[in-house]
This record gives sequence, C-alpha cells and structure tokens, in this order.
Amino acid sequence: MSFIKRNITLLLGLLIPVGMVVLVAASVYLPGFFIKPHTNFLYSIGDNTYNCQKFSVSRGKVLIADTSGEKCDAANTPRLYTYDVSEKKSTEVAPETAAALTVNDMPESPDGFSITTGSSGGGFLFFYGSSRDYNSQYLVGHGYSDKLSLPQSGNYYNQFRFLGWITQ
Amino acid sequence: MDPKQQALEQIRAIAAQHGITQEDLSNPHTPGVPTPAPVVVTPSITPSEFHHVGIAEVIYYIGGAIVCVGIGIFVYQNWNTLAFPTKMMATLGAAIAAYIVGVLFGSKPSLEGPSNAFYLISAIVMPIGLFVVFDNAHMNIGSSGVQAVISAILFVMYTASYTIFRKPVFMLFSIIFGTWLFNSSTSYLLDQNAAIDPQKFTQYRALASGAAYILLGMSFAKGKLAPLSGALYGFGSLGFLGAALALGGWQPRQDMLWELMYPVFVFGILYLSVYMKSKSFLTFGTIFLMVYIFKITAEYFTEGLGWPLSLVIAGLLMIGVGYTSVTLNKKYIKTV
Repeated sequence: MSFIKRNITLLLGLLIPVGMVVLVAASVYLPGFFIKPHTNFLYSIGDNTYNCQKFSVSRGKVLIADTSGEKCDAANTPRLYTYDVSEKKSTEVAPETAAALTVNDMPESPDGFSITTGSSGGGFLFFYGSSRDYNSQYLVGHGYSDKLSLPQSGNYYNQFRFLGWITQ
Repeated sequence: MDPKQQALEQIRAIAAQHGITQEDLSNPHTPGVPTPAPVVVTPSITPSEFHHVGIAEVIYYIGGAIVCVGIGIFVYQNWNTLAFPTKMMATLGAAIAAYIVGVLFGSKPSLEGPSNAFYLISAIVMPIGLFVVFDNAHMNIGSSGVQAVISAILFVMYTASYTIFRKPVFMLFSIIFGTWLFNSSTSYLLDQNAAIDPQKFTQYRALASGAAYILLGMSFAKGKLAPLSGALYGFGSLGFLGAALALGGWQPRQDMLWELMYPVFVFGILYLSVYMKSKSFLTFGTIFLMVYIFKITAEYFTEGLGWPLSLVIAGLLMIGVGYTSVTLNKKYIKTV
C-alpha cells in the first residue's frame, strides 16, 4: 500500500495509456459477441459510373436500366450480389432473381445497421492520424463494426454500390 | 630538539603547573578555549545528479545526429543497389554496434557524454534497421500493425536497458518508443472498427498522452530522472490543453461540456506551474488561456458586441493574462 502511495503519480501515468488501449480493444471486439445484425442486403459491383447506372431501387423493387447507349462503357459489366450478414459472405445473383426481391433502400436497416467506408490509420512516432479508406466497407451499428468481405476492392469510383436491405 | 616537540613540552609543563586537564581543553565552554568550527558535511555530488548540458555535450549530440543522417542518406541513395545483408549491416548492425560502444564508454564516468551520443545514434538508427528487416519480409512498414510490433520491440529493449543501467537517456527513449507503441497500437485497433470517429479518437488519444506525460514528469521531479521533467511537462501540457481545446469544437458544432471544462484545465495547469515551479506549465498555460479567450470571443461575442469591440476586449484580457503570468514567474518560480 505504501508503494502505491509513494508512486501514485507514476502508476496513474502508466495506467492512462494502458487503460485506453484496453478500453479501445474492448470497444472493438466485445460488441461482436453480443450484437448480431439480421438483415441481409443487396449491392452491385462495377455499377458506379455517372449516368450509366444499370441497377436502381424504386418502391421496393430492383429496376434494371438499359445501359447500351454511347455514353456507357460497353466493356463494363456490373454485377449484383446479396450479402449474408450471419455467414459474412457474398453471393452473386442474376438480375432476374434480384428483381423478385423486396428491397428497402433506406441507409439504415430495420434493425439499426448501416454501411459505411472504413478508415485507414498511418503515421510515425507522435504523428498519427486516420482518414477514410474508400476501398473498404463496413457494416456498423449499436457499437458493432464488421468489415465486409467483398469480391472486389480497389478503385472506389467503379466498385461497391449499396442498393438496399432485403426484407423479403 | 624539534621546535614542535619543544612547544609541546612547554604546553605540558604549563598545564601541569596550573592543573589543566585534557577535559578542560576539549570543553568548548571553558573560557579561553576556542570554539570549534561547525562541521559542514558536503554531500557527495555525482555528475549525473546535477547534470547540465555543456557545449561539449551539444557537440557530441550534433555529431551523433550527423552520423544518423549519414547512415540514412547512404541507405536511401543505395536502396536498390544494396543487397539485404548489406542494408541490414549498415542500419541494424550499426545500431547494435553503437549501443555496445555506448555501454563500454558508459562504464567510465569521464566518457559519459560520448556514451550518451552513441546511445542516441543507436536509438535513431535501430528503427531504420527494423524497418529494413520487416520490409525484406514483404510487410507493409507503413501500416499501424507493423509499426506497433517495431515500437514494442524498441520499447521493451530500452525499458530493459534502463532497468539494468539506470541511465536517464534510456528512460527518455523508453518514453518516446512507448508513445509510438501507444499511437500505433490504438491506430491498429481503430482500423478494425469503423463505428469510432477517427478524428475524435485522435483528440482523446492526444489528451491521454498529455495527461500521462504530466503525471510521469511529476513522478520524476525529485530524483535522478528530474532532467526529464521539464520536457515531459512541456509536451504534456501542449498535448493535454491542445486536445481539450480541439474537443471543445467550434460553433455550431461545439461541445459545451468541453468548452466549460476548459478554464478548469487551464487554471489547473497554471496552479501546477506554481506548485511544481515549472516554467513549461506557465508558458503553455498562458498561451492556451490566451487562445481560449480569443476562441470564445470569436465564437460567441462577435455578433452581439460587434467584432471590433470583441477584439478590444480580447486584447485587454490578453494583456492581463500576460502580466499575471510574468508576476507568477517572478514571485513563485524564478529562483535567481
């Protein structure tokens, strides 16, 4: 006890950074044990070109547009995927199959989750910062965060595009 | 007969003639017996306890820094032409050799200065050497995870060195690499969770680092590590007050709690400047108080009072803060 009293400032000085690391680790890993998302979602890859988007959602249904015009890149083949949030994997679906689904295109799912871009930390010594990493996508909500395993990553502008939450 | 012996014979004869004993001569209260001078015990002062950086040491450290720059430039210029073993020898090998030389020199008190210079070389070049090793293993040396591993190795190494050799220079590097480990490991964790706002987290991290530095400085203030306290107070108050100010935000997205708590933090630091007799606390406390006055005036008083009048009031408050700071320094901190 006398050791603690004599060295209280030293112990507090060491406890603050250690405690913060433990706290951050707990906030990162613990929610995954107690919080589980339940709503799967639909997304496209390669369908992010301005004025040439093949897939869209209107009144709960997936619409497929004709993108064979001059402005659109004929070599670009957008693809549709469903993401199973419990299995954490994507499955490619045909446009006709997706058209039969009922999709909610709100940013937040009925159970309170949303899709957001990740962050990428970097730095050296005292100077560290984080910025948005548009090459990674995360499912977040209620303190829970999980990186989506997508079939492709890389160029932000032509890749992942969230379409909606599959309700039926 | 020896003159000294003659004098002693005469003293013995006079003492015997007048009945003066040895006890009479030893008693300081006996009239005529001179009062012995008070014994002054001079504590032995070792060079490391009252250590001032002289011009010779500055030259040692400049020389050490130039050696590090030379190694860095050599590796950078020849990165593509040098084989891995050569790169490793030039960096990690040089760092280990410098460390060993520092240990050998450190065993002689007269070579304390050059010893610290070699420890400095080792501490700067060692991370470069570890970067070379991890890069050769095809790991991304810019990623937080790899930097956390490198900083952990260095932190353990220098903490163990301080435990064994008890030199303040090892504690200094232990703190530097410990800070790097803290920043890189929390960045690595942050990358796993997109639910945490990175900007807010960086501010809280700087706040925690600043508080830790201040507490470490206070624990080192009375001891062998006292020379480190000044720098710890300076960086600690800079980080703590800077982060607290940033957490207050700016209108319309300000955080009222942090803005209201901020004067408590600033005046706490100013109080610590008097309590710990620290110029670092006084300097940064004064600067951040001025910044806070200016910030609050610009946020809340420009529309009601008008911008020119707000500037006049802010300027007068800053004069008051500056005068108070100088008075505190003269009255409580300045020893000469």
